[in-house]
Order: sequence, then structure tokens, then C-alpha cells
Amino acid sequence: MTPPLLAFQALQVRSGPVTLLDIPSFCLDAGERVALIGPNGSGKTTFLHTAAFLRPAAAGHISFAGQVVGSHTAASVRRRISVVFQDPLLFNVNVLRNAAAGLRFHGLPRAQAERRATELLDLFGIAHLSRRAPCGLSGGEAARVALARAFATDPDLLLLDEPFSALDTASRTVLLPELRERLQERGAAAILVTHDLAEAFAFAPRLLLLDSGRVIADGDSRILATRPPSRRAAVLIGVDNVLPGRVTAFRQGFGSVEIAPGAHILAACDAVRPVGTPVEVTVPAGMIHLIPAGDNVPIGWNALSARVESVTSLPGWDLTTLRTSGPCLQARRAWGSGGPHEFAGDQVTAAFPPDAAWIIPEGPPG
Amino acid sequence: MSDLVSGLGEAWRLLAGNDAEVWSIILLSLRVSLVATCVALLLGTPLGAVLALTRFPGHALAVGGVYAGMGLPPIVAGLIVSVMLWRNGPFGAFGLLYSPVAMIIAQALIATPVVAALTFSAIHALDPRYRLQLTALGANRVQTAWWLLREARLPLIAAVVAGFGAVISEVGAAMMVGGNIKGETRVLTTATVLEVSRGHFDVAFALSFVLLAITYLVTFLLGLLQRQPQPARR
Repeated sequence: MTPPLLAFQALQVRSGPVTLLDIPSFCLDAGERVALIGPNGSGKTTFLHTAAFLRPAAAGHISFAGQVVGSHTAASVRRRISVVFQDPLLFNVNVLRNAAAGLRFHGLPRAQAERRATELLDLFGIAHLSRRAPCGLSGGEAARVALARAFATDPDLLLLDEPFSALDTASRTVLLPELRERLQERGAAAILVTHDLAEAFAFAPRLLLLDSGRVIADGDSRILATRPPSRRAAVLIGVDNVLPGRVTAFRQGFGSVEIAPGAHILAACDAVRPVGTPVEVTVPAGMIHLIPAGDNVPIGWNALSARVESVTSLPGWDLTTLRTSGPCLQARRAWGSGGPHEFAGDQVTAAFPPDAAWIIPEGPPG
Repeated sequence: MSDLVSGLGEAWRLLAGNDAEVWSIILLSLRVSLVATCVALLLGTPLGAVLALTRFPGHALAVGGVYAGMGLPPIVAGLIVSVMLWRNGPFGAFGLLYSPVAMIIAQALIATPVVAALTFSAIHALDPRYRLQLTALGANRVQTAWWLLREARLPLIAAVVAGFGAVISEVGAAMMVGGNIKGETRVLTTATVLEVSRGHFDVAFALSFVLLAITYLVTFLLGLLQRQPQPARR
């Protein structure tokens, strides 16, 4: 069995008395992609710098391709890793020499390094900019140069620290799939730090959630979004509806939760809870169907009568805020998905299948 | 006021009239100050880079020393070099006192801290992530220092201008270690002092105009290097 490409064990990173990162274990396989998300100050950049051996660990160890990396081996391991920072950080030499910089540092003769860099610039569609100074490039072009420079050394691992955050949506939409494709072609593993959930989901099937220096969730992004392990994880992954309630019954992997006097919903769960336990239930907004009041609800679905408070149009979908007898709900519906259009004040039934709702395993705070 | 006007006329007459003595003074001034600036650049740039990129015990003291060195009075530099090169001093055997070499040493001593301090602050002013990016790209220490110096080349040219300006215009050290010997170590500043003491204000003004013109010309030429190539825009 091949060892993971990158592995953290009992890792701690500190700055003075403050612990910035505390990660009991983290593994990344060769060729695997993972998106790293978390609020500001959660340690995402520290995580990346530590993985790039740019920052020493205070405790624990990091292995790369099965070998534990120490201070004397960090420099040689670093050659198999490329880092792309938030800004392109291009040097004041022409585009070609920027793209060739890593290869030159690896000791390749200039002609060879520049030939290889040209191939990469070509791959990213910017070979015609070779002789240009970085100050004349657009944001998208500069990001491509930074990516070409990172790929030029043929790394096993790419660490990307919000490489597209300064770009407009159009450049982003083009660059992200391109980056994914380049990574797949080369079989390189990558960690992408991002603030943008859509970008995280689009980049990798695996999502790592960091909060206050700890990993609070790590797994398949679709599963995390529908079965979040904690309230914090649910919030960070963008679950709109977190409804407090009390368990009234359990049967076959489902719990009945009273979210308002007389309003019960059925929700999936992974553990039996005693009746009366306070819990929180997540319901992704996209899984709530709005049905005109009085119309039939699919058999077995949860149904909550609600009044439409407001409808906000977002690119591609409408976000509807609903008031039930208990909590407020958000529902999302893609444009053109059929059904009548709701207006503020309409009476509707918010319906969703029981397995769209999820009882958070971790009890509510307090 | 009349001295100023006649000084301008005298300056023109001296230069246009191909006065051999004046030309030798000008050339010696340029030679001594340019060589001293180059020496300061060779010593000060690496010193500033090392201070900016490394940490060692006493680092703060060393940085403080370099900054204090920027304010080193030329007369003190002259005194130190005089003591060193004095006949009975540690380097007396070389017989360098009252020679252009002694002047170059003293002026390099004045300009080196200027160049070192400005190099230090130029590298410090760079985005620290450039250094991280270089390390991440696999650059070793020397490559890192070299690429960062290239990034900081605009303020570095300012460092050269400041160093050159400091030495071409100083008189104390040049007088003390050079001795203002006619035809050997007389430079524009020391010659000006002499002419003033003789009451030849017009000649003194003439020399001062030449000094100003040289300073302007050299700093202008260095300033040309500072101009960024215009990026081609679509």
C-alpha cells in the first residue's frame, strides 16, 4: 500500500503562546484534491505554509511520500511542492523568466528552463506574453503566469492560497476548471484555500473545514453539506436552515423533532437520542419545495405551513424567506424549475423529504 | 551679488578656456567620488542585504550601528582614516596618506553606511511574501538575496545617488586625508575652501557651479536608470 503523499501527525503550530494549528491527523493521497475552507483567522494560510515546509511545526511531525520531513530534508522536499499565493507575486523580470524562476532555482540551465517554461506558458494560453513585463498584465494573465510558474517544476503537490480571489468572476469561471484539468493531467495533488464555497465545491470532491486552528470536518463535500457533524460545520458549509427543537420519538434512523408547538418534522440521524433531548436540525434550502397552500404534499414528506416573507432573485435561483409557526426558513429554487412564482404574503407549504433533514450529532451549545 | 555674476562668467571662462588645472581638479573629484561610491556599493549592498535577511545575536545593535553610520561626520571619517594611515599608524607603511587612495578610503567609509542602511530599508519595504515565494520556489539564500535586491532596484539606485551625493560634496575628510595638494589631491570642494580663504570669491563660485553641475549630471544619469520601461498596453 502506498503511503499518503502528505500526512500530518499530532501536528501543532504555535506563534509564541498562541496555538495556531492543532491537527491530530490529516492525510492527502497522491493526485488527490482537497478544498480548505474556514473563516478569517482560522489558520488556513498557516496550514498551507506548514504543508509547504515554510513554517516549522512546534510539535508532531509531517511526512511527505512516507518519509518524515525534518529541517535538513525540508529544502529537498520543497522542490516537489509548488505554492501559489493570494497575489501572483511576479518578479520584475519578463513573463518567461518569471515562469522559469523555479526551474532556475532547481539548477536547470537557462535555455532548458526557458524551453520548459514556454511549454507551460503555452499550456496556460499565454505564450504570446513571454517578453512582457509583469506590470502590464491583467489580473487573469498574471494569475496564469503564477500558475505556469508553479506547474513548471512538475510538482507532486500544489498548494494554492486563494489564487483567484483578486480575479473577476469571468476569469475565475474559466481558470478554475482549467486548473483542475492541469492537475488531473499531471496527477498532481492539490490543496486549495478559498473563501468561496462554490469554488471549493467545484474544485474538489473533498472538503476540509478549519475553525480556530482545528479541523472540524473533513470529507465528501456533498455529504458534509447534507450531514454536517456540528452546528459550526453546518454554518461554515453554508447550510441556511438550522432549526432548534426537541426529540419526541425515534425509529429506524429517523428522529421526530418538535420545532414549534405542534409542528413536528422527521429527520435523519446517526444515533439514538433520548426523548426530550434538545437538538438542532439542518435542512438545505435547495431541498425545500414550496407547494401552494392546500395542494397535496408527497406522501411521507415533512410539511410546514408558512407565509412568504420575501423573495430575493439571485443569479440562477430565487431565495425565498418563509415564516412558519416556529422558526424562519430559507428556500431556494432554480429558475425555470416549474411551479408558480411566489410573492411576499403568499401562504404556502414548505415540504421536504425526511432524509433532506438531518439531526446534528453534536448537541446544541449550552 | 556681483561675485555671483562674475563667478558664473569665471566658471564659463575656466571651462571653455580649457584650464588644465581646473580640469584636473574636476576629473580627480569625479574619479575619487565615483570609485568611493562603487566601493561603498560593493560593501554596503551585501551588508544591508545580510542585515535585512538574517537574524543573529546583536542584530539590532548592528542595524543601529549602520543607521548611526549614515550620520557619521566626514571629519570623523577623515580622522579615523588619518590615524590608520599615519606614518606610525597600523597601515603607515603603505604611505597612502595625502593620496587619492586615502581620499577614496575615507569617502567609502562615509558612503558605505548610507548604501547599507538604504539597502536594508529597501529590502524591508518589499512585500515579505516575495521572500516566501522565493523560498517556496526553491531559491537558496544567495538566490533569494539576489532576486530581492533586483526587486528593490529602484530604491537601491536612490541609495547610490545618496552615497555619491554625500561624498562628492564633503570637504572635511578630503581635506584631512588628501591635504589639498595642488595637482595631486585637490578636489572641487577643497579648492573652493582655498579660494574663499584667499578672497577669490568669483573662482570659488565658479568651482561651486561646476560642483553643482557635476552632481546634477551624475544624479540625473543615475535617475535615468530608475525609469521603468513602459509596459506595453493593449
